Amino acid sequence: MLRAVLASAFLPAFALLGVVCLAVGLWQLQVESSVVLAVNGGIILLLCAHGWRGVRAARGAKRCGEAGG
Amino acid sequence: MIILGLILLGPFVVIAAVLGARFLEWQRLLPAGLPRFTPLCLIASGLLGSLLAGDTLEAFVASPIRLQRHFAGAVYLSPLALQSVERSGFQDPGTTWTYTLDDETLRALRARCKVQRSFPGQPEYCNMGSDFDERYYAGMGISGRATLVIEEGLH
Repeated sequence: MLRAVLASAFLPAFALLGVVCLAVGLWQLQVESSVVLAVNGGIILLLCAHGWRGVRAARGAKRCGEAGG
Repeated sequence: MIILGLILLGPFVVIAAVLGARFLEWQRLLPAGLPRFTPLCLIASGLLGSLLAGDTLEAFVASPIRLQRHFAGAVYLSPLALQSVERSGFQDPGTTWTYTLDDETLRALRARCKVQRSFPGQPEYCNMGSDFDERYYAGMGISGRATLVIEEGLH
């Protein structure tokens, strides 16, 4: 049960971190003209979106398998 | 400075990400269907992002608050009033924070500072305090009409 909860929290936790990094990064871009943190935040969010697609595809395949079996 | 930090931290971050991803996979703490290298890349960029965000918040929030308390006795300016930050130096790192002051804060700070002589053509500088020794320097003052400058570093 705990494992399932932790596994399902994996992507949302990183998405939250990505949003924080992007927000702080945009502030840094405005104040210090440095793009590194904003880019890093964007990469985290893109990776989360990529992971989400894989997880949704796996869930869909499992549902199809259950319906067919 | 940031690029150098990334190069120096890179190998440690990659090793930590590989070990972290392996551990999560072994403990089955990853959601099913996650593409193979996504957890590794997420952990690596998450670690880097956390380190960079922590460094940025320390430089933009914690350090100026500490220096304002030290030189002015209170925090007069919020981090959102920060206009610019310049960080420089490899061997002698230094940071300069610049704030634009509103009239009320300017009046409050003007009462605590001492005008210094400046060269012709240069903006007036009203000194609020400075610390120097053979390695460290820090200072705070109002430059021109309404710009607060705080600086700290090694020399």
